Amino acid sequence: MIDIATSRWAKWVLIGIFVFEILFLYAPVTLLYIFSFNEGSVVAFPFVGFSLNWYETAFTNRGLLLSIRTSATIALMSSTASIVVGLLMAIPLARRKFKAKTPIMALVLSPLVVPHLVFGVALLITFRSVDVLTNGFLEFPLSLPAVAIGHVVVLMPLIVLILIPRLQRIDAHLEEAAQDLGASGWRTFRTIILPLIAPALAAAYVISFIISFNEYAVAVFVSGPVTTFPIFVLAELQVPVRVPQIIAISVVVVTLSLLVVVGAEIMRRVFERRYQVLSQTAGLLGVADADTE
Amino acid sequence: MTASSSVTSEVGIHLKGITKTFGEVVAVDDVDIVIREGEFYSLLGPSGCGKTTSLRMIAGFEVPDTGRILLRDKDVSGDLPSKRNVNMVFQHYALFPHMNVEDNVMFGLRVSGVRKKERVQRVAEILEIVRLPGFQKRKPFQLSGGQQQRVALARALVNRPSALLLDEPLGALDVKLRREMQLELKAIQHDLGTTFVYVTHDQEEALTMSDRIAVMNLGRVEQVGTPREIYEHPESSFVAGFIGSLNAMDLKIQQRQDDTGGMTVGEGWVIARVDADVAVGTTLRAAVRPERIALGPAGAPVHPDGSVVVGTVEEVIYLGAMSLFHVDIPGLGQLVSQRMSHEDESAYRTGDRVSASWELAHTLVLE
Repeated sequence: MIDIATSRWAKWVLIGIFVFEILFLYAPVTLLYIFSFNEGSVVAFPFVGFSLNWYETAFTNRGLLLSIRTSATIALMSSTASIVVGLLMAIPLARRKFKAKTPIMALVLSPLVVPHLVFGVALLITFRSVDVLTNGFLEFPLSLPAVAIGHVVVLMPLIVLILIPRLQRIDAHLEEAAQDLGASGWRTFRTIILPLIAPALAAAYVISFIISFNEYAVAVFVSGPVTTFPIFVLAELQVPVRVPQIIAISVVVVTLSLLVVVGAEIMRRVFERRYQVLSQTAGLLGVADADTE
Repeated sequence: MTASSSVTSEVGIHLKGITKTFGEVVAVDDVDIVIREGEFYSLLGPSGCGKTTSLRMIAGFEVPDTGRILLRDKDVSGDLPSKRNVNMVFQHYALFPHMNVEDNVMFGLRVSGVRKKERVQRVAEILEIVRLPGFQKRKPFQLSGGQQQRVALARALVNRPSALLLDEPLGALDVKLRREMQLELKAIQHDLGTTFVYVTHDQEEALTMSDRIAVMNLGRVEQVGTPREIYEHPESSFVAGFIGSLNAMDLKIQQRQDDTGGMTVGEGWVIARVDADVAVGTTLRAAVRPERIALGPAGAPVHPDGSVVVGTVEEVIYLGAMSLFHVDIPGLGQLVSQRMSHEDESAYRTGDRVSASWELAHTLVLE
C-alpha cells in the first residue's frame, strides 16, 4: 500500500497548503493583533506607536458592549436549544434502524446547503406572514428570540454531524447491558450514554456558540431593532475613525474564541485518555473482528 | 464432574413453541427447551443456528413471534429486559468504560435500590468469588481480557439472578486462558448453584462444562442430552458431524439377523444395530468415531465380532499424544483411526496392510 501522506509530491502539496494557511489565515489575524496596539487612527503601516487606547475606547463604547451582550445572549439561547434538539435527533439517527432514516437525515442536514442570506429572507417572510395571516393575533416581534430561532436552524445540522459519529462508536451492547441490569431507558441514557458523549457535547456546544455569536446573514434580516455584534461591527466599519477600536475588540473576541476551543480540545483529550473510551472500543471491536469468523 | 448436585427437577426456564423471524429469515423455528433449575445448559451450534437469538429472547432483547417464555413458571414473554430476573454476560463483556470495576459491578444493585453499605459488601464478596479481590478501583481498560471477563461475570452474578445467560463469553480469549476459564466458570456455577445458559459454537467447550447440551441447527433443536449422550448416541448426522470427528459411510443392508444388519466390504463386513422395520436393500447413513477403530494385522482383527474391514495405511499423522491413521478400504473409502501414540498399533507405517475393526455398538446409525 502506498502511503499518500509520505510520498514525495504529497510532501510539497502539504508544504504548499501550510504556506497558504500562514499567508491568508494566520498573517491577517496577526496583523489584527499588531494594529490593535497601533497608536495611529489609520490602519496601515508605518506603526506610529504602542498604545492601549483603542482597547480603552472599545471597552467604553456602550453600543459595542451592548451588541456583545446581545450576541452572547442569542448564542447562549440558540446553542442550548440546538444542542438539546440536535441530541434528540442524533440519537435515533445514530443508534436505531428505521425505514425513513435517509430522507430524515437529508431533511435534518438540508440547512447546510441553503445560503444564510436566502434563509434569512425566508425566515423574515415567515415571521411577517404569521403576523399577517393571524390578523395580528399572533404577532412575532423581530428581536432576540427571532435571531435565536434562526440560529437553531443553522446550528442543528452541525450538532447532529458532530454527535452522530460519537454515538455510533458506543457499543450497542452497553445499553443492553444496562437494561439487563434493570435500568430504565432514561437511566441508561443518563448513566451510560450521556457520560460517554459528554466531550462531544461540550465540543458541539462551544462550536455552535461561536458560530451563533459571529453569524451575520440570518441575524441581519430578523433582528429587528436589536443589534448583534457582527451587525454592529459591520456598521461601525463604515466610519473610518472607528475602525481601530473594532480591531481591538475583534482581537479580544478572536483570543477568547481560541482559548475556548483549545480548552475544549484539551478537556476532550484528558477525558478520553482517562477513560480510554475510544481506544478501548476500537480494541474490542478489533478483537471481535479477528475472532468471530 | 457432570450433573452437579444442585440440579433439581424444577423447571428454571421454559421456552414453549418459540418462533422468531427476522424479515424472511427464520432464526428460531418452533423451539421447545426446558432448562432445569441449577443446571449448566449449553446451546451449541454453528453461527446462524438460532442459539444467540434464543438466548436474547430469554433475556428479553428479542421478542418471539409465537410461543411463550417461562422463568420459574412465570410467563415473562412480554416483559422488558429490565424486568426479568436474569442477567447476561455479553460476548465482548460490554463493561461500562467510564466506570471503575466497583461501579460496574454495583450497577444492578444501585438500580434496584440496595443500600450503599450492602452494595459495597456484596461487590467485595462477588469479586472474591471471581478471583479479583481488591480490583474495585481499577478501570476496565486497565484489565486484561480474562479479568474483564471476570468483571462481566461478577456484574451479572452480584444481582443473584434466577439464571445467568452467557453469550460466547470466552470467544475473545486465547486458547489457554479459555481452557482455564472453562473450568473456573464450571466451578463458580457449581458453588453458586445458579442456572447457567451458555451459548457457544465450540463443541469442546460445551462438552467440558455442560450438564446438558441442546445442539441447534437452522433454527431447530436437533438433540438434547448430556455431553456423553450427545457424543456417543448422536441422533442425526448433523449432531454426529458437529460434535467430534466422524467416518461417515453409506450402509446398504444386505443381510438381517435379529437386531443387526450388515453389508460385506471386500473380504470384510460392516454391521450395525438396526430397527426391526429396516428391510434388506435399505441404505442407511452410518458412521464410526475415529477413536473407536482399532488397527490390527490383516488376518487378525482386534474386534472379530464387530465390523471388520481390510485396507492399506495411506498416511500417518503424528499429533503428540495421539496419531491419526488414514486407511484406504477398497469398496468403502477412507477411514480415519485415532490411536494413542504409545500403543503398539501405532507402529504401523504407510503402505502396511491392516485390519480396521470396531465393536457392533460403535457403528452409529444416523438416519
